[in-house]
Amino acid sequence: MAAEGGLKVAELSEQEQVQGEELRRRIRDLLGRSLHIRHVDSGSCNGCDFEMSTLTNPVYDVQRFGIDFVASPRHADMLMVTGGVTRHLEQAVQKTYDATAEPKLVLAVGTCACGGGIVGQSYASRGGVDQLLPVTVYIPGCPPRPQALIEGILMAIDRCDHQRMPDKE
Amino acid sequence: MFEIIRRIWKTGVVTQQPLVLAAPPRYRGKLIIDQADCSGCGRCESICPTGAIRLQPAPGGHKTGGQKIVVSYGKCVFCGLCSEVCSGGAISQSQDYRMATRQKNELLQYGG
Repeated sequence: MAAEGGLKVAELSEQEQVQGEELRRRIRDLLGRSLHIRHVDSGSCNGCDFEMSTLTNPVYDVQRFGIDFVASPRHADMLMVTGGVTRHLEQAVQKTYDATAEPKLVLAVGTCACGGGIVGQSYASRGGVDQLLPVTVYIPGCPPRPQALIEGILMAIDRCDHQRMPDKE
Repeated sequence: MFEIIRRIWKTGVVTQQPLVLAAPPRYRGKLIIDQADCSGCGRCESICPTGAIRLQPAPGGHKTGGQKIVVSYGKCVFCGLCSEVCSGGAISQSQDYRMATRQKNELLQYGG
């Protein structure tokens, strides 16, 4: 829309619209209707969690593509784990993973979840989600930008495509 | 204000900025490592708070005494200290934030 009176109105470029439609189509194709994400905090500093909470705000608004955050791992297709796994939350992360419906996707969000980050590996911390769970996509950053998170979700769905291919035929 | 509400009503768009923005100029993203400018002083390695930067022995690193900078993004917290202390200007910070990867070994960046 053309801006009048100095106010600039958001305008999606043609490429963005095509990408959004492509994402919507792929999610519908793979998962029925939508991608549901469960956010798991495995001992993060809340930096990554804040960035993740921006995904549903009006600026990024991933819900228009059929991506939503749910309150239980039993309703989720994907886990987004933030923070290097602390000893205290190890069992909680494992239980959450076990409760997630197949096919399970795990995203390691942030440097800590990718490889321990500033905490590293110690008696109190496992040093990365991949020490405990099979990780689909690593998203480094301290914290990663919301755009980087969206990119990571896209990559994970791509992989899901490859995994599901044999079942489909 | 009524003008704004009218526009939101007409266009259905609330946000004023485009969806995909480049990172702000002060954003600290992926490192740019120019191995040719590295003197091998090891300041980056010693100041790194998480031990993400290492100087690894590598063949062909003639100027650095056979060493190569390796950054692990599984540890890097993007504090920017390495690019500040680098004497030769071999390490600088870019605004690149797209680092998501499927392979863990792709979290390592080698100086090139």
